[in-house]
Amino acid sequence: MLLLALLNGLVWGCLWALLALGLALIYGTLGILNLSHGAFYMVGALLGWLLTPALGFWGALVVAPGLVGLAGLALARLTRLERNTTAALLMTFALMLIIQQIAAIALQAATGELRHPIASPVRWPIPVGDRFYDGYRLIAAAIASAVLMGLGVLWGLTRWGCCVRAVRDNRDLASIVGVPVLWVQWGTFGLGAALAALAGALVGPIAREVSPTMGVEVLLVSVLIAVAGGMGSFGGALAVAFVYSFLENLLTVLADPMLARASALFAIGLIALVRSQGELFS
Amino acid sequence: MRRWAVLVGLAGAILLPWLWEGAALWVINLFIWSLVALSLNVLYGYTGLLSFGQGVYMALGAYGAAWAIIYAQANFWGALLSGLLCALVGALIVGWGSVRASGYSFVVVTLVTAFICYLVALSADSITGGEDGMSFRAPALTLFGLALPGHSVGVRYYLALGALLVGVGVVYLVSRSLVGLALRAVRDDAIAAASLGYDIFKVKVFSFVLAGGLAGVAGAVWALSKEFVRAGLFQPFGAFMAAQPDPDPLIAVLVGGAGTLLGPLWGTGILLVLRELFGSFWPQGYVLALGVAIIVLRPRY
Repeated sequence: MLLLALLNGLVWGCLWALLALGLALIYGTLGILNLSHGAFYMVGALLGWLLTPALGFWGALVVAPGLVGLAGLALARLTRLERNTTAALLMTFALMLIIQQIAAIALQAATGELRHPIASPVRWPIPVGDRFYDGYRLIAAAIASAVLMGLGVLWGLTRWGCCVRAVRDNRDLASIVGVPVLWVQWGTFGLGAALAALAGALVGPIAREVSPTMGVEVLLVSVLIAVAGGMGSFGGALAVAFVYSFLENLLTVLADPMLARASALFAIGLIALVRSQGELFS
Repeated sequence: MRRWAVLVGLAGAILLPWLWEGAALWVINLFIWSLVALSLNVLYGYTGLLSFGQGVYMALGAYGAAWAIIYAQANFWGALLSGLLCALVGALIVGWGSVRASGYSFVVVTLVTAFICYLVALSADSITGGEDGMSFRAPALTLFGLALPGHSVGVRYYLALGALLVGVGVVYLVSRSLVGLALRAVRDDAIAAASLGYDIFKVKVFSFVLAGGLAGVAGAVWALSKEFVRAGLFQPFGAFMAAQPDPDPLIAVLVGGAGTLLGPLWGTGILLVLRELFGSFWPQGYVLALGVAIIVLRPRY
């Protein structure tokens, strides 16, 4: 039981890191809190399910985030989200409502109900003690951590990463030295959306169903992780994601899942509050 | 002119149940959700604290009333008072802990508070009734020695109207007082307000608790009117999850005009009318229209 909780902690840690990192990147470069993150996650899961008959699960895993990323870039471009005000926050809220509602209408029209089951792409039960652990989860975690490492390399070693960090630290200076600030901002929004969609496509077979509102809880948790990790920092989001995930899954051994999640959120929320103390004026 | 319009509107509101009982049931909803929007307006419109979690204090008010009736056999006024107290205590605790957080951190904290409350309410289903909720009988309302049945349309209507009028009165008095000036000073320029000697932390906590209390009264009235409470009241973005979405207080405030006295009432009215218009031919279009409206109108608040 404890071993299962630790395994789950590891798997979900990778997935939460993927989600929170997308949010942190968007906050770092655009300066906005993206409330539509959960909606992109949901679209990822939905597209993953829709494209599986045509492309196979693994093909869908590549194409779905790509499509969502392009859509995210286009949306950021169209709504000019980089204008850093409360209005941008409300616009991402509106995007969330629109995307969820379109998904609800589409799913209702296609299947006649608001939730649809998803089959697991691989059957690989791993014996753990007297139980079996779903091997697909380990594959999902491996894919997520490979993407995270790839992002880490991009962030730290490439010209793109350098541009993103420059935009995060000082937009005016970045534009003076020739960084295409606007395109970096829109591109990062698209990248964040693609990361959320990848997480959604990966989680689909773990959650075993898709529904238009599946992204809401995910948004709340990942937004808290991103804030507690210090918005805009790569390592902070990663560390808090794993702390949260292990805390929640270990507490699940002791209490029922909802209380475990509530107490883990409370603990991370305290971190977020303590971190933002003293910024009363900003 | 303006004064006459208000008087005519007020007279119409008082006489409505006698003139058209069917409409009165619909207007009860308008009054209750207007009060929630009014409370959020104190927080956001006057003090500049953007919150997505105002539903928590409405839910606390509703549960406060329900618990008083179910566990303590409280009378009508006892239930209302219990709802108000639950919401005030909850708002004081959360406000004390969260108003120091700035900007987006505060937004996130209000969201996550709502989510934590929702999860706790779901798992403590022996006390809250969980997803299925709890129903109860509203006690009789004793007024000047008369016992009026608690569930009659008249009692529900005048209770909601009275609560809304009291709420508007309180917000009016506060906004015209020195405290109201302090709220707006903190909203417009916190550093200038602090250098004038205002304690920003206290002003923000006051605003949070006042807003929580108003929402709590709305929740208690809602519970007495529906004779039902459920854990879903706590749910963040819960207004959009239902098949028939409730008028979201934040959008009502934005539509009606943040920082104005009667704006939230107009906003709630517009949202309810919009829902009815869409409800007759395309119910799912309502939320879609709200989202498109926010993006097209490009709010500058």
